[in-house]
Amino acid sequence: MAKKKQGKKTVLQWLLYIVSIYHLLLGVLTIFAKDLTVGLAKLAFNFNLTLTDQVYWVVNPLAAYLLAFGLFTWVAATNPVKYKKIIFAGVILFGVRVVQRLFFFLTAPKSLVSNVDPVRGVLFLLSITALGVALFILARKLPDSK
Amino acid sequence: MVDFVFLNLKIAIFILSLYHTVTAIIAIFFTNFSTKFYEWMYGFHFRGNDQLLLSFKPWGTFALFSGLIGFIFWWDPIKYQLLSYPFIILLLFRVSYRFILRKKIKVHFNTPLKRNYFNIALILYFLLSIIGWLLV
Repeated sequence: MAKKKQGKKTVLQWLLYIVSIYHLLLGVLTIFAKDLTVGLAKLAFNFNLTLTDQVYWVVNPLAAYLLAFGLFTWVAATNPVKYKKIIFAGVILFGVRVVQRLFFFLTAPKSLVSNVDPVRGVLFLLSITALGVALFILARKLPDSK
Repeated sequence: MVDFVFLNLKIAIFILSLYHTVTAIIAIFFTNFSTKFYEWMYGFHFRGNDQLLLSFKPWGTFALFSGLIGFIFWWDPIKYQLLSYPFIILLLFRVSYRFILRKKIKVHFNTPLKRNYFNIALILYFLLSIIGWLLV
């Protein structure tokens, strides 16, 4: 009975697995399906990307880091208590990304922003913020690992 | 031998984490300067445009995350041993595309091959430091 309870995933773990799978997919597709990169940039970053020869290369390290982020959050999901620091680092990343997106929407040349509908943009930002806040609150409740 | 391998791992991970943190901060906060920095660091010559510079920001953020995780791993490699595997995969990808695309890098970024091979050797050093520690 106790074993069954131990095997049950918590809300925090499910959130981490979702974040992980999303970034793993994004990373793998960007590395192995360059033709989809433009669509993915539009979908995931609201970014009108034109694949010049230099941009084509620059997306490779970005993809590798997306993949690594997915793997790190997967590791955190396996044992949130032990890897609590990773979750907090992830929250910092979410915070920086929200600020970056906000600046992007406000300051980037309109030709580079794919989603010009402000309501959709705000909703997207709010959901990322909510996810970051949820991860932070849930991780704070965890005991410290030995 | 084991002590040496462990010490080497600590040095490698510290440099790797510091490198990620510094380059990430430059990419995020000093984006215009970053092209000059990467030219000095990697021998890349960017034909700067808005979208290229904007793509540095998400890249920098994810690199910053890797730097922070690197310091966690560096702090206690034995406790956080599992973190070594994502780093191995990250470094494998980085070394692979640098090698596979070496001719394109030379053409598109005007980067001398020797400079690229030097960077490949550096990444291999980090990679082998982690793999070596796991094997010993």
